[in-house]
Amino acid sequence: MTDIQHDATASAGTGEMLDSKTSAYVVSYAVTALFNGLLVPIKEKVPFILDAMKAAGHHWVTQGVLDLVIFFALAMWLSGRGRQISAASGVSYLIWSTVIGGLLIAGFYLIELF
Amino acid sequence: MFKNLELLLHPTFGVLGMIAAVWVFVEALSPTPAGEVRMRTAARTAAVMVWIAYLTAGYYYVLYYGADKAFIKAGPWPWAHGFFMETKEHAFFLGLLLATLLPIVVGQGGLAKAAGRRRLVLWTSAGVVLLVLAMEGAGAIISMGDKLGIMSRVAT
Repeated sequence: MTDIQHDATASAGTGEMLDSKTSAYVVSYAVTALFNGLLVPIKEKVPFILDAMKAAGHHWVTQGVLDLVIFFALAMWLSGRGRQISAASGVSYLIWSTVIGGLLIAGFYLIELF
Repeated sequence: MFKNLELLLHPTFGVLGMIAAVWVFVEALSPTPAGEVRMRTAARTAAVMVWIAYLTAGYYYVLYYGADKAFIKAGPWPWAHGFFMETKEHAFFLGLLLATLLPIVVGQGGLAKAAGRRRLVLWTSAGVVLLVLAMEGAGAIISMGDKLGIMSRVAT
């Protein structure tokens, strides 16, 4: 059983559900926010990754394109599956992925200063 | 000329996006059917404004920021690039994606009777507001770092 199925089952009858499109986009946002945060230390510390991103253009442009492709492709794929999550889970995914994604970036560059 | 104008367009569109996100937040505090129509307009406006802020900044950053970076790194505030610019350019994607998500979460409708959905709208719009504010603050520090770098170069 996937997390999304689990969410839907756990909240059925008691929790308020998001529609399948919104569920898909919220989950996709959370995954992309974490990916974006993780990619920063990885590309800065693994020269092969940074070189590959530069070879595809500017590394920042490549990161943006990767983020957008993951966000929209995952959202469309999840929308097609028609799964739903509870509104409470959606809020949790949104907040925690933003906080963790942001801290991964700010924390990495703060450490790099010293 | 356009190159310099872009530096003004980026924060301007960012602020317009933030104002639209504040509008969504306020409407979501006590949603009404008429308010939801306004909320959808505001959410789409926020997304479009933040996307324009992203595109104008990206164009300048990729083509012209290298010279500013050299001044900042050689100046008295090298951390304006090392921490603030590096964090800003990567954390910007969170704000861009949240602003893109905003019209989708607002589009579900029926917020007056759905406290959970309403909470999601409130958090999404608050996220856009806080991230844009952080970007504006970081931008001011980067700009000051650039100015100090240039001034120290001129003074020596």
